[in-house]
Amino acid sequence: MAKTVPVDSVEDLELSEDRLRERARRIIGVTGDQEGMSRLREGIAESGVGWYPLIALGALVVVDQFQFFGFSILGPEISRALGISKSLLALLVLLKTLAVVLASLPIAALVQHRPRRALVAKLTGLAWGLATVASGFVANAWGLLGVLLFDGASSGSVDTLHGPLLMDTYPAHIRLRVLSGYRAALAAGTVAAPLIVGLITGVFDMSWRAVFVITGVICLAAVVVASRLRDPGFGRWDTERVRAEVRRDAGAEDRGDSGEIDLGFFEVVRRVMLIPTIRRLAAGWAAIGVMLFPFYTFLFFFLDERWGMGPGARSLFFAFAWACALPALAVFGRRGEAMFREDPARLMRFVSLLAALIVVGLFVGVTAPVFPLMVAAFTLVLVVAAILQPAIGMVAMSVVPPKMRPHTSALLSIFLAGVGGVGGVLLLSGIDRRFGIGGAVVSLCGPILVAAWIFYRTAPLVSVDLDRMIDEVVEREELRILQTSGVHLPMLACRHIDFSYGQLQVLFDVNFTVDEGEMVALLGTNGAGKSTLLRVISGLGLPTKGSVHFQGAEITYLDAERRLALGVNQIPGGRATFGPLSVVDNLRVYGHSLGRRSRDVATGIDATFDAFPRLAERRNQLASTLSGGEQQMLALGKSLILSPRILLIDELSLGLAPIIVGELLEMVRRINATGTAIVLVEQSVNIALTLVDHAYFMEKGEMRFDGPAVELLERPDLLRSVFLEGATKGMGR
Amino acid sequence: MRRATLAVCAALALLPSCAVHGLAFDNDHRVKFVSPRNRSTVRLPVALRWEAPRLARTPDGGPFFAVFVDQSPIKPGQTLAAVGDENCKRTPGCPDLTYLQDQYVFVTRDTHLTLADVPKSRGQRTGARDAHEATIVLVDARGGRIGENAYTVQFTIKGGH
Repeated sequence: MAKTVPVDSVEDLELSEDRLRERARRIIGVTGDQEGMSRLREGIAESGVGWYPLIALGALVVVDQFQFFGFSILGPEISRALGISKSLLALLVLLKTLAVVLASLPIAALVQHRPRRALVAKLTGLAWGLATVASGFVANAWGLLGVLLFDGASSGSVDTLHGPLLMDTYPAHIRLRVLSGYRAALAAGTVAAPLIVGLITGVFDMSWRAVFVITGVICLAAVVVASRLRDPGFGRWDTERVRAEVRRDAGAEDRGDSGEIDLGFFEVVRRVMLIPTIRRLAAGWAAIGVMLFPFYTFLFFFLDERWGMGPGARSLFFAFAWACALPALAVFGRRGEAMFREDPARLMRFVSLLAALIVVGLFVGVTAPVFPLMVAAFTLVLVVAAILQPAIGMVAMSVVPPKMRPHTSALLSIFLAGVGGVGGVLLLSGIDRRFGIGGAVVSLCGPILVAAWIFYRTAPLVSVDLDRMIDEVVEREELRILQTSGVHLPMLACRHIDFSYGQLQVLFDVNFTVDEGEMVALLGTNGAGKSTLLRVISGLGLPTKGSVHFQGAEITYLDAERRLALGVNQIPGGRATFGPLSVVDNLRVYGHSLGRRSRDVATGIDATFDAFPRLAERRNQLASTLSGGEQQMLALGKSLILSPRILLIDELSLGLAPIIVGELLEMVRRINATGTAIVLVEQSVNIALTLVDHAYFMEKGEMRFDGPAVELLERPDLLRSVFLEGATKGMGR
Repeated sequence: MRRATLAVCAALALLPSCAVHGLAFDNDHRVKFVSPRNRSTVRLPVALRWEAPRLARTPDGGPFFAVFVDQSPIKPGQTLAAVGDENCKRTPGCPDLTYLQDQYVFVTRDTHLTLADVPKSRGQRTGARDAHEATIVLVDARGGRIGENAYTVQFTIKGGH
């Protein structure tokens, strides 16, 4: 027979979580000091796959630059050859950028359930290689649009998949160095691409068409190089190791399938955006995008107009700047790794300092009286921009579960290019006409200062979110161990729930459990957070912290309709009916919400009419014309049709006559007798305690009492507030 | 399966937008600008000169040089009629050389051309160069563009215009 975990066992879980959190932090590379950092070579050897994944993904990101640079450098030639205007060509290239941004999230959706990131990365690499080759054969603007959109949609995999793949391929203690190395490959591509274009057109005297065909073939060769790339699985070096540590701590074995409910695509996106660090990073990244995208355009014009640099000289300038990024990334990789290792907040503060350095670079670059100073200043800007990417990527991907990293990367690239980039172009497009190109460059200081401030404010959140992620993993694994060892867990368990309406926090560290078939009362004064807790359980509200488990599976971030399908059903407070529909249509709607067969729905409707004959008499009457009691009867009919595992009833008796309340409570008893667990939210202590054995009492968003109902009756300190409130209401105050 | 079908259909729809014949994979040097030097600064009027010693002449005296100032040339295969607006297209004999010149498109058999004026730059930034560009494409006797080769010179006008 299964053991039943007493409510006290929640405390046991907490103790082990505290103990394991520190070990888990070390596993994911946060040791609290800078001592004992291993060499990159050792970490690469430890990965068991060597340099190959880094080289393969590096090769893909290098060749990804080719088509972009082909169109950037050879735009005038393409425009003249095809007889299309430069503005049309610019629009087509912009559409490609939009395709990159828009494709990133669908690509994340492709890989969220199965670890096939390497496969998708290779296939998309093949796609953009073919698109690059095809660019050499286009005959008109439509052809260009086709290849650019195809290339853009496939290039979306670079931002979405490469970072998460590297995070899962290499051990946590060398990740920032690996990500910096990958970013260095991107910089190398940025240097190589214009050189290759120059080589083909200048030395070999070939046209833009040949450039695309040759670079396309190089892309395809890179895909061949990357062909042995394999997906290492989700969380190999972090969450999986943390789980193993939890099992080791508990002396348990890995029993395979976790029985977890996978989140859907939108649920993952919503869940990622609920993480405070991610929200801040996204905002800061958008501010960087506001600066970065117009910056390249402004810089081209500034170099041309202020320093008379032609296309060749400008290409050399950018090649020089990106070449300088290579050693800078190498230095930063090690330094940043040490900072992250000691405290992730330190890395974030360093990132904000770097962002502020961009302001200095912009200002000095614009006002520099001599050429070398100008080059040095703008090189500083470009180098710092290159460093920001691995730093932000590392922090962002560390605070989300591995399966959600592609979504996180995609979201960040959307905020950078889609929100920030487009916003920057719209906001700053006319500024150069008004203040000149120098003024336009200086105007970019505003968004970058905002970004620096946001990054600085993000620093304290990182450790909190890192611990939250660890706690989730530890808790899930501990519950899984309990489950697999035959321990019976409560059917519903809410742990450490925090919830806020905007900036206003209304739930504070709330714990709440309901067992199979149990009926519990959730009591408290008005505004105590009872209804909010029900919303968190039913999925109408998502907590900012904590977890909700139902029948052993985590449902914290599941959509309300999916919880309904699992058997979590809520009757909201007030009139839980559709007023403009008739009684029978209301009942049909309940059945329809689960896609139940019409025969089952008809049976449920008959059962409701049997239970509440008064509803049968009013079957064709509009729900809005029913009395309050009848509307509550209709709402209860929902449970007869849906047969939930747990029914959450909010304020059933509010404003109803005692005789009606008696009828309703009788029905609640009958529903409970069929095995459905009931959570009864009530302000009326008398009504609630006549029904239940177990009660919870909430006050000001905190759980103040959890125990047998009879014990609550012996707590006048708690009940006084309810009675006083009722008395005040009774006196009409 | 539906996605694959959709992708194949999209690829097939794009096929007519691609070509394998008549594409220039080498840079073409049959026409070369002599003056002004590329990206040089000049004053109005601007004397454009080019040479085309390797250009094979046809019996009708072609090919002709169509010089487009500050605009993209017509598409390969298209005729100069494409330069005309809707009114011009409804008017017999339009576009003629005068109409084309008004649009800053000059058709000539010579290897020189003097630009008395250039189009006014729109949306000029404060302090920006008054940069212009002349592009030559080859056209046949009926004004149809031959091939996709184009020859360009960029210059800056000093002192405004």
